[in-house]
Amino acid sequence: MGPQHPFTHGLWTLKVKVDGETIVDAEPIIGYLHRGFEKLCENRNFPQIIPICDRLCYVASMSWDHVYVSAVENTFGIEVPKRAEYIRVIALEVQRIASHLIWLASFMTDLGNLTAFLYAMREREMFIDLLQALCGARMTYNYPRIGGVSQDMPRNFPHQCTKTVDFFEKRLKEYEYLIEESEVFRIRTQGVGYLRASDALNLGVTGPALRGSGVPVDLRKTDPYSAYPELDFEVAVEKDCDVYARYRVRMNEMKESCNIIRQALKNIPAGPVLGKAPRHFPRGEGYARTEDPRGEAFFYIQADGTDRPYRVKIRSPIFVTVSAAPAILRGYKVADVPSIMGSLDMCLGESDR
Amino acid sequence: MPTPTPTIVAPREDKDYSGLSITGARPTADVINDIKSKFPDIDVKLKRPGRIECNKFPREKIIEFCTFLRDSLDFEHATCVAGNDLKRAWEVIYHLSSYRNRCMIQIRTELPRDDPSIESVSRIWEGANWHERETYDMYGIVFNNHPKLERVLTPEGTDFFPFRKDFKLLDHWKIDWENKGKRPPPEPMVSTDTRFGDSNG
Repeated sequence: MGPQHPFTHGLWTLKVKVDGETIVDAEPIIGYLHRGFEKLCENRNFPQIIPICDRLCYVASMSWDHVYVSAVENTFGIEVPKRAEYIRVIALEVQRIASHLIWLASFMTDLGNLTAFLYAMREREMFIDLLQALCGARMTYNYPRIGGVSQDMPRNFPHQCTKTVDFFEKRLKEYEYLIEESEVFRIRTQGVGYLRASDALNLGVTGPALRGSGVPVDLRKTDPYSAYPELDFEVAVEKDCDVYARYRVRMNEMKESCNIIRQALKNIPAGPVLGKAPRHFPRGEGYARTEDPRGEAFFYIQADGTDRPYRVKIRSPIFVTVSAAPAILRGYKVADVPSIMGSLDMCLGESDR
Repeated sequence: MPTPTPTIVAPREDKDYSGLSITGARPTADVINDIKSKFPDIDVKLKRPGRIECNKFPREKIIEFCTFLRDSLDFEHATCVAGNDLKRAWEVIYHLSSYRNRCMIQIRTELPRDDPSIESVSRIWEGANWHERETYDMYGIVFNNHPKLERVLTPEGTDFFPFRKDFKLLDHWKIDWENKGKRPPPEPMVSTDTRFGDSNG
């Protein structure tokens, strides 16, 4: 299946070995989008890497910018102003909702529910508008800077943000009703794509797929970064280990994100938004890991005293999750493939790098 | 028409993970003490709470050490395995994390220049499988006893390792992809654009 198949949502191939209709073995093949990203980073200086980090994942650019700048800040011990941390959290949560909405849209097209696809894309537009108000771009933001963010939020941004979030929460209930009351949706998701918790941990699966297996691991809680330790929120966990559980986790995460945005807007302190970044970067190494919309994003940087990093390593959550796909697919029917792979939320820009 | 019945795979017995990362976290200093009492000659130090560093790790002990980390100290998750070209040596960097103890360990292992090989940890954490494949793909570091050590990201037939420091950026323009990725002899860089008359003058 693939690389040009409606269910792939990107350029990759799934080799499936079948016995009749039952999947015996599967092998994902990726690499069509490989750009040599880490080599590219080694040939650019530190601030120049931020705009190309946008291109890692085209639906969640802000989170990749953020993990890169926080890795640089950890490496060199750069202080970030409190206000900048809060703005980052708001931007990240808006980005998370937008990313989950595009997942919902593509997942629903896989299962034939075109109404939900159109609704999800429409709501995503509101959140894209918010990010546009924040930094002027709709997809590739280039917003965080080493030591802060590029500019303060506009004066009417809190009002616009609260209005959007309130509106969206009401709408989300309608969509849940629209999607979950459908028996076809239930049959195609419940009891399909079973992933045991201990298998998920051993296979390195992270993010909503891991929380859908009943493991309450969220790096915003377990390894807090940015302004998350000061905010109060719940981790969305489901115990059913199937496609439906992963769907529920993402829906609950969107609600939780609305909650976080509201709290952050309420508690945001005044002050500068851009701290002092050094002009000459010393020798050192460091890393940062964050909770991406898809799982655990990780950036490792080794600096050798010049203005360029010596080595950059990116751990993409989808790169590992797709390697676990054969373990999830084994024993199910070919017709279940779109439902199972759709529930993992593929994004090939970050996995091929 | 018969009603479709969903395929149901019976849930197997599993441990209870509902309290993972919420209760039972041990301080990072205790974890380091445990490592030191089992492996006294290994340099382990605390960088900041939740971050452990381990430099110059001997490559023969990696399987023993990783098995100990997973079984006794609850390092359930292999975050990342990265390769590196230090010019004088090769390097493999492991980042392993423990959800239960809320900490992360970084292990740096140097491999000699003429023998880039190390035991594979993908028998311990299957999540390390593709990371090791990628490291082999990019640096040519061989992981012994790996279930399937093949290229992941580069096309079939590639005969070079792109992330090595002697492979310069833009070298890939010189590769003849139609001829299975073999590198032709270097040619002088001359523009072939003839739209504006003589290209070289």
